Amino acid sequence: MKTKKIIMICAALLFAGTMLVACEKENKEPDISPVDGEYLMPDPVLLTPDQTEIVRQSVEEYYEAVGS
Amino acid sequence: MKKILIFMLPLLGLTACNDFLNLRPNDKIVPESAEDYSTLLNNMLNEIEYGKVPYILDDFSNIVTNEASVDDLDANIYLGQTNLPIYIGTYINANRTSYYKSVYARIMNCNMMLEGLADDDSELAKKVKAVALAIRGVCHYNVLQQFCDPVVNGAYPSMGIVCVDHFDIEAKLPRSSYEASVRFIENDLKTALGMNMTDTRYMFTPDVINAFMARFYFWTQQWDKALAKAEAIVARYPLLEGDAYKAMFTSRKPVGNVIVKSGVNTLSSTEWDEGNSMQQLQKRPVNKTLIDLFDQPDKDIRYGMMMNAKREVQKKPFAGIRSAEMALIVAECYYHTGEEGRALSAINDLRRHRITGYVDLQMDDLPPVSNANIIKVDAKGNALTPLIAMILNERRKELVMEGDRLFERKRNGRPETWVAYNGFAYTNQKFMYTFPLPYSDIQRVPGLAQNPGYDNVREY
Repeated sequence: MKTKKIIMICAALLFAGTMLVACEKENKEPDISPVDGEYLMPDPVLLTPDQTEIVRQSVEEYYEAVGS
Repeated sequence: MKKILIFMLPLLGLTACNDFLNLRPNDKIVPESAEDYSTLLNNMLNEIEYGKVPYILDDFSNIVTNEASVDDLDANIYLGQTNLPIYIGTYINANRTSYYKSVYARIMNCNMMLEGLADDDSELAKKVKAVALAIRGVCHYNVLQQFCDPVVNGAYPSMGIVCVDHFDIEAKLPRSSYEASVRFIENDLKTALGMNMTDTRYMFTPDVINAFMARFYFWTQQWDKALAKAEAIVARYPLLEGDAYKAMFTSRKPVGNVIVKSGVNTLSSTEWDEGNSMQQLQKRPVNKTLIDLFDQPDKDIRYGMMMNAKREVQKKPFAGIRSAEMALIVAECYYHTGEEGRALSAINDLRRHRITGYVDLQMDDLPPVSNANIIKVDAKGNALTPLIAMILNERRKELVMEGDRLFERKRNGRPETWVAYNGFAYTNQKFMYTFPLPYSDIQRVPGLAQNPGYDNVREY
């Protein structure tokens, strides 16, 4: 009976050890996977009157050069 | 007792579990021989030949998005182009962080080859190792150019790149100093060059490596070294003119004085992508500031090749290295080393090959620096002189649609400019010239430093 108990304990230890090794392999990396993301650029600002005028001139000049 | 033993036997079998977990799956090939590694290498070279990815050498579609993000094309004139970036900010989020990861994937392949063949001295192994070293150096250089601040007047920025010299898929490496990064790249390229791999099927011959070294030395402001390399290449690949010059842009194969080129082979999908990109490009007119740089448009071969009367881009994006880029490096290196006479002579030589009936300019004939020029300082941080302004203007005309302009601006003061879109002004700020490292890498690697300006992230 005593031998049987010892064998059972050994078996349990052996099983637990094996499972530990397996779990270590599985969990080598923490299960927090890094997420990706988009970098937020500074907000654009409303065009100033000067900038609007520059764009207007550039568009006008373009259509004059190439025809509409 | 017998029952207990029967119960024990399967348990004992489980002790092999540790080894079992180390087994590789049967459907994956683990390279072992030089032939196996050469297959891996050929896959990477095929990527360049088919021009499908921009990680080692640029490709067609990346040049299109790169050019669209800066000022050779005029984003203020909106003609319905929807898929092109309007400024550097949109270019960054379009593909730069995935680019970073993909470049390092190529570096990982190179390290696998170098370690797997470390003890193999066969001819094939030597070739594979030489090319792997060259590609590893070029990939690190690409990262240095895009993800580090520029060198100003020889002063290195504070942060370099992550230098990876061994294969370890779980490695979490910090960034090296800029100086150490420069040494690492130089060492790889020099070692590859010393191996004298001359088989053109493997692409990275001494001429190609020397051309990349000229670019690398030029970018890191090692003027004397860049000059020596670039001059030697121009001597071997003299400048062309007329039809021979035009052919370099119409031929898919590397002809004329093209040293290396991507997209030399074609697939139907590649052609479709290229056609689609060209259609998009034609909806963004060539910028007048570039057009105005042509002082003799009727006689300059580049003018008619660049655009048609509607200011639609006609020059097909070129991804590669050709001799004219080296000639421009020669001119600028002479300028920065104080040999202005030679710098003028080099730029006159280039213009002579482009402008019919060209008469050499003398130092006193050079046009003054134009206020319209958005680059105000040179690579040393000094105000532009008429000579360096001419060199930079020639560079802009010569290398338009070759993915150079963004880096040209980065090297020369990182000018801040704005673009109008839907009633708002989007500004190319200085920090945007240095792209951000991927957010996932910043989280994964403890202590990995991000470039300034990229504090706000929207996770997905």
